[in-house]
Amino acid sequence: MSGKAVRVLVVEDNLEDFEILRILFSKVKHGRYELENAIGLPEALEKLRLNKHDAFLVDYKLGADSGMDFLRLAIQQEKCQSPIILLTGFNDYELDIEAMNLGAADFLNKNKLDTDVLERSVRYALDRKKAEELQSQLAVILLQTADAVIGMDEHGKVTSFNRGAEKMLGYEADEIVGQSATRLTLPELIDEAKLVWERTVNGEANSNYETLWVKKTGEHIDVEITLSPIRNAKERIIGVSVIGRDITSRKQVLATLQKQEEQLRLSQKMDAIGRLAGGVAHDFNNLLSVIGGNVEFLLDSVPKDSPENEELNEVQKAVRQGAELTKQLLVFGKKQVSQPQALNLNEVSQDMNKMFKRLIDAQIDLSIIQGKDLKPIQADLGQIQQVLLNLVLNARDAMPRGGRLLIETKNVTEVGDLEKGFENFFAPQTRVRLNVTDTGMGMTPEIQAHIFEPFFTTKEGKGTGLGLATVYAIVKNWEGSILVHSIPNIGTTFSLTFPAYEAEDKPQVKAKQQSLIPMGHETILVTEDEDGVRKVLVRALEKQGYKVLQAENGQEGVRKAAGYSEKIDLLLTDTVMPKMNGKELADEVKKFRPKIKVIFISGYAQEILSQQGMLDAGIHLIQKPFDLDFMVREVRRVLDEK
Amino acid sequence: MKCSDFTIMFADDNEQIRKIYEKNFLKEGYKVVLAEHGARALAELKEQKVDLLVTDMEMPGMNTLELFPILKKDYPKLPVIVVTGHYVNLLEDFIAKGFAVKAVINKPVSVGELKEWARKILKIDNL
Repeated sequence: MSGKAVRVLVVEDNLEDFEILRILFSKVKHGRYELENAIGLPEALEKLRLNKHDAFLVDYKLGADSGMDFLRLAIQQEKCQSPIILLTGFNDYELDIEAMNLGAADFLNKNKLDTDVLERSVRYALDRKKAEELQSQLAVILLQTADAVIGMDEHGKVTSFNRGAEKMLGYEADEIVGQSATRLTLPELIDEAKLVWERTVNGEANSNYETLWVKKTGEHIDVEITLSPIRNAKERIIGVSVIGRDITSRKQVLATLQKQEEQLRLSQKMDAIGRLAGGVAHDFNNLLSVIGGNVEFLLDSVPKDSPENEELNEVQKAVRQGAELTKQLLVFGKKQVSQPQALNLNEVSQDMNKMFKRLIDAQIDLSIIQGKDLKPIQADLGQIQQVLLNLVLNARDAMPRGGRLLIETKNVTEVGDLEKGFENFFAPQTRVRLNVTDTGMGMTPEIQAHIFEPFFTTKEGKGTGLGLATVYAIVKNWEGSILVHSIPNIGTTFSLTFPAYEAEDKPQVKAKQQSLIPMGHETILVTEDEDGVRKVLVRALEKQGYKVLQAENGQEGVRKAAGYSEKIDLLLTDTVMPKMNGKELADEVKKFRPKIKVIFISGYAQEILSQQGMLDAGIHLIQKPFDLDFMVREVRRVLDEK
Repeated sequence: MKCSDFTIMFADDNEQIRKIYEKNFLKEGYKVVLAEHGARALAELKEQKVDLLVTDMEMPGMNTLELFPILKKDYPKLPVIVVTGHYVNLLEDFIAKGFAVKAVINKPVSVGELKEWARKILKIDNL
């Protein structure tokens, strides 16, 4: 013990005895002790409350009261954490035990005191207190952490079950302590769990191991667990501790991210092909024109029944196929300009029925089930015909020995792909479903994962690998979604869903709690490079009555702001965009629209943006991921600000 | 009326394509004039009477967007066929602007299709 002095309060009515103690402590070789005297219980308690003493030495006799009274009051009432050592003039075993039960750190006979005894008693008491404090802190942490901490003996019986475990699994500690822990394990995973258990009992720690636990309700939760052996003082393994963390939401986020990444990758690939096609289409078409034109010239000079005529016709056919291919590739880059119109899928499929019958084998039984009162969709007729044709041709090729082909239409009520995850804001609405089902060879999950990729084909030598990619691009162009269900040797269903096309005067999106969310009529420019996010923002704002202009990047934002002839009240912009960021956009727009209000949307923390000079005082920020309710309220609030 | 009564002008910046037009339409009996861009087309129009203009949408030098307003002013009766690589229906747009565009056909050009349009516009009886 060195450095700071240990402050000891001596509760002692006899001043001589206090003096003796002071002398004894002054002879301690290691460390300094500062002694203070308190006479009588009231003074002792008063000084205790000042909370400045490291230890207490208390005489058993305190006037009318006793040292036991002080002990009781100090620990039970004043919650004293410092060690209290009781001093008496006699040896009394009973008293000693009582003092210990009350929480005394030690019990010393006044008549046998010397410097060593005193010093050791105080030092030990202080050390023990420190260890106890640490332990109780650890115990509190263990008890209260959100992670599940479960102790087990070497046979797998639960010995402790903290609050985190109770909350995570739905059991009270009493229900599970003493029981085998296997009830927490999914039956299918029991062998694996046993293996990990064996390893742990043999002394190996198993960290961050992902598994499933079964809650009291029978539900499963994804957990990441760490098992460690518990050893006693002799290093013998007497049990296992398990720390489990609920990773259900992390897993969900990961799965969503993965899916989004896949979709992004696919659309980037399609975009790249589209751009490439756009770049070469002009030259390619000229080449095809030259080939075709020359062939046509030659065709006129050879007799109709000559072999040359047949060969030239083949060349001409290839030219037409080449032209078709170029046109198809342009779909991916959205270069192919389309003509949106209200289409009834029942009419479209009915009109194509004859063509389908011509294309498919007599062994294939085609039926069309038309949904009643089918809502129209908004799309380009030629493109939707192409979608249907490609799906029917695929179904045909999947059934070389015949089978059934079913085209089915119906109205469904659900939220769209873009709105998933925002269900509390967007009410489900009517959509139009088109299912194309065949009883053909089906696809393995490995093949299914790639079918929408351009140039992926299973029809060796026969397919271009563009059929389903085209379908996908067209469906996405019209804000539809596409799902595939397939079982090898049973068949495949392609399920397409489009938003129903409502007449202009009806609001496209219905609010769930329209009255609670503030409406507006102002004009807002939304700039966001992420397609999905931008569309959701635009829809949410339009739903609230705002007039919305949108831009995919900073430069487009500036152009839109400059090109619009009326007032723009608010700029709602992403902060981080390639080339021109949100701040630069806002600065640029403010040059010619000084009164425009600005709200930034950011995935970065406010501090980072301020550090980078992105945010000045008085500028508004919405943090990603955001709640649409919040976004709409924030927009209203900022618009109403003076 | 027969093909040899008419002169058709073809404007396209691609030489091979001009040759295709020339070969095929000379064979049909038409008189053929070629131009590699809009400015040349205007110059040729001053020199001779032309009954039909077949023109590419985009050409370096002078493209159709600059050419058409001049045609509208100086040669309002000259029928035009536009050839384009854009899969857009531009016809209504042209007509709305008062241009004498009779047809818009997509690339790659089918000479057969073009011949049919020429006959139709020039009111030549099919053989």
